[in-house]
Amino acid sequence: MNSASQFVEVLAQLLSGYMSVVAVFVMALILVVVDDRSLLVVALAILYLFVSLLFTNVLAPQIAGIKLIVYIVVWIIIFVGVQQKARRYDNESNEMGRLIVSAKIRFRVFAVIAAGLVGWQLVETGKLPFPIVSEPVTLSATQLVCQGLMLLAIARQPLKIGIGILVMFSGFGLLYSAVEPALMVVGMLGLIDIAVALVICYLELVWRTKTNKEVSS
Amino acid sequence: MSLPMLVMTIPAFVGVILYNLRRWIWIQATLVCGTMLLLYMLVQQAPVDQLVVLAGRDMYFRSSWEILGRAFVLVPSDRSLLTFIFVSVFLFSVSAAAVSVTTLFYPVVLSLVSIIMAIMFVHPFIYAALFIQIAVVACVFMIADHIYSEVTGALRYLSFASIGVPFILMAGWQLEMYQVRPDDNLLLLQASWMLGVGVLILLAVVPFHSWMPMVARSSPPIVAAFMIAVVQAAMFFFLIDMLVQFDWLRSNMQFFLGLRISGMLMIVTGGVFVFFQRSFGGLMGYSALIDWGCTLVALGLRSPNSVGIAAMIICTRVISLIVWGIGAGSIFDNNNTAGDVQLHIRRNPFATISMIVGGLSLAAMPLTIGFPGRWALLQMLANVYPNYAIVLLISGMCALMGYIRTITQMIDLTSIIDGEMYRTTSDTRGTIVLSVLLVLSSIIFGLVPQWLYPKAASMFEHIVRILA
Repeated sequence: MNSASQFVEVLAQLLSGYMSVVAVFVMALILVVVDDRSLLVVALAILYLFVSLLFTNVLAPQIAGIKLIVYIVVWIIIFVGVQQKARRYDNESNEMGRLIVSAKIRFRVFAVIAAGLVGWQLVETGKLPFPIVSEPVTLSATQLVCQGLMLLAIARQPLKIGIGILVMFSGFGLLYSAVEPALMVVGMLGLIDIAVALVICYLELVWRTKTNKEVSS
Repeated sequence: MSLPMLVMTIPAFVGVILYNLRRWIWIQATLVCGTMLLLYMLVQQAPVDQLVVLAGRDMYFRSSWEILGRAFVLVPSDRSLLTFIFVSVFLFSVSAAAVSVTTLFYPVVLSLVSIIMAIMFVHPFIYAALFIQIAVVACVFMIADHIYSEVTGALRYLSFASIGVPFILMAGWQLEMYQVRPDDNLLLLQASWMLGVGVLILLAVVPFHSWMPMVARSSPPIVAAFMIAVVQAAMFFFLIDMLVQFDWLRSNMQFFLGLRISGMLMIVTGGVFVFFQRSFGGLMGYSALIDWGCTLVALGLRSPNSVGIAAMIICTRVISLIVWGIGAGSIFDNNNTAGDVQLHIRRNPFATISMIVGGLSLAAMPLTIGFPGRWALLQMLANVYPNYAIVLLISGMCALMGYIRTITQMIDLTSIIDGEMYRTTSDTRGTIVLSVLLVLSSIIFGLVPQWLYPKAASMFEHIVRILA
């Protein structure tokens, strides 16, 4: 038991630094650019893992553990929602299957980089109204908020918009937990995450019903 | 026993029961109405913080409920606001029983009543922001379902609210910091900004307004009406609560200027877009945007009279939207083509008249209930800000012209005058009775607004007293 907790602590220290910032940015890039649902779910899982590790920098390990549990619940809800017959939203060839990259992908990559730069600049210029706990945490949080907003702005499908909201909330949660680490707030934010995941799955199902109807007619 | 706990748990509990009674609309409507009556009696009649004998037993209703170190407190000024919520939900529930709504409408409405009360009661206020987010999530369940499967409005609403809530949470933190460092006025300034931005996003200020016409077009009309009239009113009450609670916010003239400018933006945008709408849903959405803009401008004027006018506009909007909702709900099914709509209009003359009167009332046509509040605001603006008054007048005219154009395109007015049409109507008896009653009340209150004004103004009398 003792060795296990020590292992977790060492792991957290190793992975919650700048490695998390890189992981968060790469996963956010995948979430914004890719349309394949199975990839989205995997990227979300990895993103949540690193966000949970980042939470160990701002919250007590037990409360960070609660966050991790919340994220597992959210991920399970999203995963179950995604396990439907259609894996992709449309039949457009917008993936990087061949060497030709579609305009849509190029635009999204450019948008992710632009949002990333905005997030980076927010930290660099010190214009954030939050205290900086540690640079990797703040940098990751601003990246998450900016990429989440970017997803909200450019996505049209319920699942991707929902993931955008969840990503944005996870970034905000990182910043906010540093100033309000009360268990009640953490619990309420967790409850909101779960509620958003549920409603997104609901909307995804409704949306798919509609698209199926349109296809059959 | 704690009164806030009781009034918050009753609707949530009944909502769970209703979820299992989804097939029986009238039972659901009856239970919701019964719950609203019970809550009304409790809130109005229950003696708070004193011992009473009830059915031979000593009862003590506490005004607060502490849970996990946070308090839900029922203050006397909340009673009139809660009465507005209960009466509105009662009227919407009766109306919704006569028209088509989404499957989860009634259970969600009851859960929303609980959450709205939590928003109003909770201390400190940052927790209200969290409850607002939960309310928004709950709303999505009634905006779309497998029949009304257009989800863009719901998604837009969820997205915008999710952007707004963090601002309010950040404002709460800035205020906590201000209590630690009371000489740092920058914290107050930042808190004002964040609170303002957060609340204005929630109140659908331009450019965060697009969900309103989207929901009005694609959701069941009575649900859209409920969202715009009641849920948005709850957000407005949150703003009023902030103004009552924080002296520094009330004395911040820039905040009120922000409210006025935001309101005018809504009025201008609504006026421009309402003119080009081709559907009754779109017309309603943008007319409601203008109406909400008027409410913000009225509050932004920061005088006791203007706050009373804001209260009047909020109350009249509920009636206008119910009248519109019952008519439009009878006429529009999901995925109607223009031909279907025209056929339904010919077959349902009572519902058509209800929809027209409700829509025109929302556009503040004279002799309807929406007019007195708008006229009072116009008069007030003409004295203080004549430019605003001119813009509001033009915007209102655009809304009226938009309605008149759509009515002439969609409705054969000669057939509406034809008595034979009313004898061979497809309207159900419930729709006919409700339509006639609501249209009459809309016109009567439009002619005699002084019957409604004192009751409406009492909603905000606490802030009026502070501002006076």
